[in-house]
Amino acid sequence: MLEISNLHVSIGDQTILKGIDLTVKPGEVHAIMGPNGSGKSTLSHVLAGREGYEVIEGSVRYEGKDLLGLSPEARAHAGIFLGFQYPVEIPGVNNMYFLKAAINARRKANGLKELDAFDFIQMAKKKAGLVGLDESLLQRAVNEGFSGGEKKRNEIFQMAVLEPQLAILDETDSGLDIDALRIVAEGVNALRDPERAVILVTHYQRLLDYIVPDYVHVLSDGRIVRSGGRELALTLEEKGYGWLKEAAAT
Amino acid sequence: MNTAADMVARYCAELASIAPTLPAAEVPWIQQTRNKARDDFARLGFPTRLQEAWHYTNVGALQRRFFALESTDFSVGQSTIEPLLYPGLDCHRLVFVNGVHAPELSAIGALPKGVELENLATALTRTPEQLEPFLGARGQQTEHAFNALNTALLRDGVCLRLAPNTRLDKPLHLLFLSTGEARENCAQPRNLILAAAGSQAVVLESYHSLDEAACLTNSCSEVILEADAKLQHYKLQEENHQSYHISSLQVQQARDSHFESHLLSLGATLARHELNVDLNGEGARCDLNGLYLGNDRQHVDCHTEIRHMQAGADSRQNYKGILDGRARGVFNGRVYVHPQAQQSNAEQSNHNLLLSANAEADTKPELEIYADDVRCSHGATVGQLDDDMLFYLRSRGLPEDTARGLLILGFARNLLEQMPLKTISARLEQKLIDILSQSHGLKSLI
Ligand SMILES: Nc1ncnc2c1ncn2[C@@H]1O[C@H](COP(=O)(O)OP(=O)(O)OP(=O)(O)O)[C@@H](O)[C@H]1O
Ligand SMILES: [Mg+2]
Repeated sequence: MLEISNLHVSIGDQTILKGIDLTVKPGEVHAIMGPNGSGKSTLSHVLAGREGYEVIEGSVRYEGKDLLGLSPEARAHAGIFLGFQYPVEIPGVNNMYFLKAAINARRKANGLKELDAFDFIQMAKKKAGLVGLDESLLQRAVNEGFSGGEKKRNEIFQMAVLEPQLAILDETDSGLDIDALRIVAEGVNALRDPERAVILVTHYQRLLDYIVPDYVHVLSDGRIVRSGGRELALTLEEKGYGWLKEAAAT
Repeated sequence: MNTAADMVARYCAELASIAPTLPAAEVPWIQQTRNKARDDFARLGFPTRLQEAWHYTNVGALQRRFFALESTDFSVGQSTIEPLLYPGLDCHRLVFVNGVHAPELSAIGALPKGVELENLATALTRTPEQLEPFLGARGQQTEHAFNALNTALLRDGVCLRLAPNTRLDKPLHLLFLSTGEARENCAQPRNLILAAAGSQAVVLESYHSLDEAACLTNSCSEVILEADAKLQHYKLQEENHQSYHISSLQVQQARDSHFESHLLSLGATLARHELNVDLNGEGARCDLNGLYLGNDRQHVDCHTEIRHMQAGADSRQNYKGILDGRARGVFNGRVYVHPQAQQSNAEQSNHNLLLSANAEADTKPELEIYADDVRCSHGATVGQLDDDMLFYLRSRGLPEDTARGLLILGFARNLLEQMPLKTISARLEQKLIDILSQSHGLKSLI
């Protein structure tokens, strides 16, 4: 589904990603962990098509096609979803209105009939209930004045509505209380099926108790320095990242 | 006709020649008022950029181009105005064509006791003595060339008078239509709203062109709010892009009165909206909201002056500009606080969104505060669409132009939301959407 090979990315004259190789197959859940500043969000943004990054080497293929030449909206239409680490507040743009526009833009791009207001609202309310997002938030401006946890729930809500093929969740668990964490995890698990894949960026092994990953990768200084199964997260939890550096040095 | 003085002389000559045909021409004070104003205009001429108040706005084009004042017969049918009305808005309606009342298009209907609503020409003829205190020597800014030009004609407009504790039962919709046919015309509406103690009204002024002819609108309105009176005022300006729109609105507010203004400026090649409010009594309050759009080479200038003359009054101003193409937007907001106006509250903000590299926004707050116990704040920004917001929307699948359109609408939204009358705000929002969908991809979604 996703093949990242030898990806080098810079911002300005600083190289942030220094050769990432990662293959994600349908049905898989990959967790990416790693110290602050190691490049996890950069990778997420590059996959979603944010401007301001320069790919200096390497390639990314999605469903067999070059991903990097596509606009962010084209990627969304192809089923990629990014849950932001810091969701932006957008004053004056109504959450429901925006989401209806988003889902219909995607349906249109894929040759499907657009949802009418009634069907959309029914569906959105159901999904909001599923992820425990207070319905009153639906009528507010996108993320405006939302608490940190509400913003993250809103990301999961949008994911649930858009039903992406590949969800990249950048620290969606940070700032969530225990109940919210469980709900977010349920949201992700509900989406799990043999056709879809998830990349979870997280600092906490706790999330992985709820969403059991197939692979865990450690990103450090722009490289994946270790990959393993779920048990790698437990080791990291216990030992931190220091031992990886020592292991790398010897 | 090639100097500014020649052009001023031409206006004065036309004013003199039509003077005998003007309403109430035989009433001495009216005659004197017109003559004095004509002399003032002859002396002042059109303003130049050397004058502080016109520093950002060049009306030089008006020195080269004559807009006829003499009225001709216009045949405007009911079907022409139909699209300009607000479905669902039950209202009293007065229509003016090139500044002259069109009774056949107007619909005043029954009025509550104590409310007088008529066109100014009728009021001038019917009760000139009652209007003298407002339109005579006291009612004009003699150093203002456009006001002088308007007063020199003093022909028509609306005259709304509310007795104490009365309420205009329905909103009043004033339509000002400009039409050129074979020539370029000047419309000079003169409006007077006198709201006695405890009275209330809602007024919507809308300015439209009926064709592509260039017209000059020079409108002058005076509002007097006595104690506890309330006026909710809306103004939509959507004249064609050849036209010039100059307007001034003077508001006098007594104790505990409330004036609320909502402006949407979309049209004209040059639009100037002056709004001067004197807060003359404790507890008086004004809320001024304005949204102005410019594209191509449009120039739009919002010029406000609020004078806190007594203690304990509040003023709030919130103006926003959306500027595309080579348009230029100006906000000049002056707040004056008199030494005895303690506990004044004055807030002012002006935010501008530039949609193209060639658009320009000038914002100039002027605070003159002579009292020490006051709360005054002002903030101004000029910026572009936020990249993070754009990316967020696009990452969810919105095409770039739609995302831009939504953000622009989002920028304007709080001003629309502040309009208490939803039939009006919904219509104005649709106008914004229509304009944005010409350059942005909103249409397919709404
Ligand atoms: N716009 C930018 N300009 C310059 N440097 C940047 C920019 N964005 C990110 N960086 C740098 O790139 C590096 C990687 O940042 P990134 O946000 O990808 O880290 P991260 O792994 O997501 O960290 P965290 O765990 O704190 O979220 C950091 O050193 C950061 O300072
Ligand atoms: Mg990050």
